[in-house]
Amino acid sequence: MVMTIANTAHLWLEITEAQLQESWDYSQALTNSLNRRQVYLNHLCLAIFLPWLETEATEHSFNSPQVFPSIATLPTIWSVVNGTAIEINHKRLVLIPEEHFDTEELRVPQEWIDIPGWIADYYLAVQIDTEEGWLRVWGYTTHQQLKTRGSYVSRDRSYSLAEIDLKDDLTVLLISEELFPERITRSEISPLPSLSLIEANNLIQRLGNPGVIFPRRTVPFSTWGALLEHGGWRQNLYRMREGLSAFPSVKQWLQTGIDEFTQRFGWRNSQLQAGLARDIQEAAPLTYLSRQLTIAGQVYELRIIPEDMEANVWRFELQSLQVGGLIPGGFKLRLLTEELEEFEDNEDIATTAVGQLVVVVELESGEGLVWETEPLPDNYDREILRF
Amino acid sequence: MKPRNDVVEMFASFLQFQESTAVWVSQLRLRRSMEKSLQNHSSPPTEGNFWALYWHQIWFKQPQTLAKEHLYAYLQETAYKAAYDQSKKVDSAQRWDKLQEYFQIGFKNQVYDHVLKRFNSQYGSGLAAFALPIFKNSIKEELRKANKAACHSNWSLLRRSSIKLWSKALEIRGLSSQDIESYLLLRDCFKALYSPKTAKINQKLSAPDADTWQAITQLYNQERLSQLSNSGQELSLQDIQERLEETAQAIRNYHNPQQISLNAPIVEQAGVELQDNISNDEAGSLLDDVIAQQEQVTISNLQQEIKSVLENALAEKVKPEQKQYLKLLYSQGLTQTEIAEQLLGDKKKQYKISRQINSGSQKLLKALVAWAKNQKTHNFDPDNIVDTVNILLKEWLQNYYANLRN
Repeated sequence: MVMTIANTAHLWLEITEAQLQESWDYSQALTNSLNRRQVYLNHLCLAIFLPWLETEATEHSFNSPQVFPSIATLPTIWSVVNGTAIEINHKRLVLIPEEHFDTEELRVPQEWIDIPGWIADYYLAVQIDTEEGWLRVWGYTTHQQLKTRGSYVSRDRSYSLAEIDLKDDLTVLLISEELFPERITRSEISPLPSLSLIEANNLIQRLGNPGVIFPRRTVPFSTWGALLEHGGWRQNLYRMREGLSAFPSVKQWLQTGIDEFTQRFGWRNSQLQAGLARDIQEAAPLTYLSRQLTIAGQVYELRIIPEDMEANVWRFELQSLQVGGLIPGGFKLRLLTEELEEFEDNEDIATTAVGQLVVVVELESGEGLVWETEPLPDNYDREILRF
Repeated sequence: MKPRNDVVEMFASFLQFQESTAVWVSQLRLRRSMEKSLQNHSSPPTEGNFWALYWHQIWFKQPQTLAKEHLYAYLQETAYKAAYDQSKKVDSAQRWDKLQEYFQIGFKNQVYDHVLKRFNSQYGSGLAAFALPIFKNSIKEELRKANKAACHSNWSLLRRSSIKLWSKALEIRGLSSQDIESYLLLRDCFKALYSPKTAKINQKLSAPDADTWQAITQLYNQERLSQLSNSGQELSLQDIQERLEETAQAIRNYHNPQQISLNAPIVEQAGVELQDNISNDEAGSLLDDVIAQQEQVTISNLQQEIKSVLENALAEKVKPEQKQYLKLLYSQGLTQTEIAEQLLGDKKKQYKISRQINSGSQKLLKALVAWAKNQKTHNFDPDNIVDTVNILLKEWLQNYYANLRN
């Protein structure tokens, strides 16, 4: 079926049959059927909109757009909240896809407005018609507008603006960004309270039950928001709701291999070549975990190496993947507790350019850690590693 | 419909449809207000355009005055023109009925308010010219929605209607806000538990099966205790089915073109709360402002500069095929589908046309913003400069291609 483009100010994009199928298959792979439709629509929306935005980025000399927080973690968001975030030109856009045939209002879940780490500059209303095979961006607004002129509805925890109060031409957004990037788009918001490990685990147990149909409305927003903002806890919640086994420990990964979900984040098993091993005499090659990171445009590798498996002693290393590459001065590798607290000897700082950053820790059995670097790598989302 | 020539009539009368014609009926209150305003000035201008700017500025400063109604009255002709153009596409037997339907759409969709909000009276362009494409777009949009509402089964219609649409439709049906809240919870339960099983949502989505109904009922009765401000009574499976069917009907009614005039008050029943009196001092000084502004615009030759910037940009930056599409879009009023069919022989290539038009107008917009930024005689508000300039651009394109045609 062919539809008629009614409003030429809107951006209209075609959805191919192949893309419909790909997004559908992606969504059907989820165990929990509850929000598969939401996952499907968000996946579809991203797959169609991102290539368009990439072309525009080149036109306007913006950096290439990046999915926030990362492609791998998207299902952990989509399965509980509608919306997909993309970063471009140091600004964040959130796409809100809907299958509604009407365009009465743009309704944005509170998570995208009031979680400090998720707050965006622009919110785009996307209408999808899978039957006729198109999507259109029919309006957009800013965080500031939603905060100051939108209406907050506690019933479904959302901010909304009527169609009449939205801008309709994305061209205006792109050109404004190109010519006036310093324009103010955000309102101030207050930080969310931090959760203790016990609180977080209780919440994950409770809301992780797939029988809880509306997890985002079951506990107060500040509690829910704080849980979601922590990428590691969000992943745990997702695993619970998906019926995946509890998060495996690094030790298990080394022994039995990495599960598929974790592989998506880029973790893999590697073996230290004999020449590099500290003890060449050792018969079995040393297996360790590694993943690639892109920091400030350069490629690095983060390694987790067992120093003493018995005593639970682990060595974290960050080094350049370029031949002879160094880590620039000022870079940091830091480990935090699950609740994001610092501890003694938890970081290594490159005072000048160095070959590698190293942090060695001895842990209790079952203890969890979160790593981070400074500056943060692209597509960084916190993750909890269990030892 | 005879166009109004008398300036008092232009701002005081509304169209009334009769058997086979439409006549102007003026409102006494508005006549008096208009006559009084004319007397405030020694040699009042008689062009509609001028008074539209005047009332728009008053409306902007004092939204709760008669200014709004004067503007509604003035825009009636534009709404009629948009409806007339659209009605030419249906066969002649139905044309008159359709014209009335399309004319009413303006009232329903807040199109008048939309026009008033977006219009920027500072640049001396006409309100009517600015409003015409907005009226046309909203008629097309409304027809698309009405068509969708008619084609869907209850179940796909319910899934594909926004929370706002549910609320509006149920409100018109006469439900209290407390009831509406309970229907919206029902909406959440229905949507969460009943999803289409295919990639394409089927317009004829069938009713949920018995198990799903059971699950929806159970979920509603469980959630109502914590989610509703007044948890209300327990609902049976049958209650829930009935409520959903009732909502689907309410949404259909809301989007049925024949119902539109019943739903929409014509100009808020002469706006009981609108103030009749605009303080004389304010009105007097505004009138002078508008006149001065009109003159200043002429002196500064803003329009002339815009013309030369855009003609240059068209010649130097826009590709020939993009120019061709822009011309067809603006001079012949073709839709992108029609352009695709005419030029590329394939309706489906409208997306290609859409992108080309987009890319062409972006280049023009960029050129015009660059000019506006460095404008000496006129200061554009830096927060809205791109927006304002985009509106100027659209108007200019409209005029430019209309003149090319003649």
